[in-house]
Amino acid sequence: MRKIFFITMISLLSLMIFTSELDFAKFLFDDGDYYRSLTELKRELFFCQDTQIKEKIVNLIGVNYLFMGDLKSAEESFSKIKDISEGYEKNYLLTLFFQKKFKDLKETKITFEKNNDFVLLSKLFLGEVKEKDFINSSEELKEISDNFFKIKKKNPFLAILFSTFLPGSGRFYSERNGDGLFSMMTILTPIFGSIYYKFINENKTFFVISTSVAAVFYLGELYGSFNSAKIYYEKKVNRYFYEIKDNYSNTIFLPYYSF
Amino acid sequence: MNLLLSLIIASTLLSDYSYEVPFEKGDTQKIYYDESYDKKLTDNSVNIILLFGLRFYQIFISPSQGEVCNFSPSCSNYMFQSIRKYGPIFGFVKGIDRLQRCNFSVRDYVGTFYDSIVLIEKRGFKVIDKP
Repeated sequence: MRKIFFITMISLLSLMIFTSELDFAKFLFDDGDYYRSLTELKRELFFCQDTQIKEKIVNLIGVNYLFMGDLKSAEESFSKIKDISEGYEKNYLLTLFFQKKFKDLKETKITFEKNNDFVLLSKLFLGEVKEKDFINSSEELKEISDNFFKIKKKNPFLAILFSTFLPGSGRFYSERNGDGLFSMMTILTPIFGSIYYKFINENKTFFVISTSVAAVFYLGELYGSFNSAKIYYEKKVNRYFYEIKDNYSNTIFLPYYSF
Repeated sequence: MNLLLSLIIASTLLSDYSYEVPFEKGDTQKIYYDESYDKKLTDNSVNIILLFGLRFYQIFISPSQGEVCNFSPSCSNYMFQSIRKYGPIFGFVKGIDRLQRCNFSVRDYVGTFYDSIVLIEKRGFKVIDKP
């Protein structure tokens, strides 16, 4: 009886010892505790002898870094295994895309054909593709490109022209309505003041002050309308990049991993 | 009067030209003024007049208003830095543009035209906009 008890105890203990450490790392990962999951994975990597499992662990380490927001370390991990499988390569390209390294991504040698979508996306953000290039792409890519091409550039000189005739309108043109309204007020108020002090209540000093204030704000308005139109496209594209990163995080931008 | 003037001049010229900009959420980092602009400052007398005016405003007028600026660095600091960086004309115009942008709608543009908003100790929420 004693023998049977000891045998069962030893077998149970051995089971506990040889259970994969990745299960605990998975538990931590699912719990959102990426930092501790990373520690478990690194420990497993240290003891691991099998090359295939090692690759899998390196990928998981990269994914943990990705979820933690440490994109540089994630890129480093994925770059070690990118040529091995389609999923690993996708993760590498994904980290490049998230870091906005569009030029590097474009020049990267793609081993697996399916990952060409990332090259197309990087070209889209570099402004090197047209709408017709997305005809044969997936539905999601088409949607992304359609919305991207809806963002139009604003002409800074047109904005100056608007502001020259009606202060504030240049900023309205760049979709900055609050700024436009406020700058219109800052210019029109001293202009009305100068008219008042010139024709109704004649006061030369106040007339000069209000005219010079209006002139100074007018200069600022011209520069502001030019600048807001100039940076409009860049800022909108930047905003769109983060929008698609959030909206497609469960489809195109979902990293490949399995425990 | 002479004493007051000499005090103003001393406070303007002897200040270390440092300003605080937010580093992380709720944190501040002291960034010292770039010495390469000093040459420009000594060469240009218009700069000195403008910067003197700004310092006068910052020391004697601004404290009476309290924390009213929506941005970090504040509008006067922004103009101060941009004058030193871009010269008296362009820097001044940039500063005026900033004054026009400092209005009720600033926070609507965070995420599009402005990158981030931070909470600064004793100053409240400020939108980051550097010259």
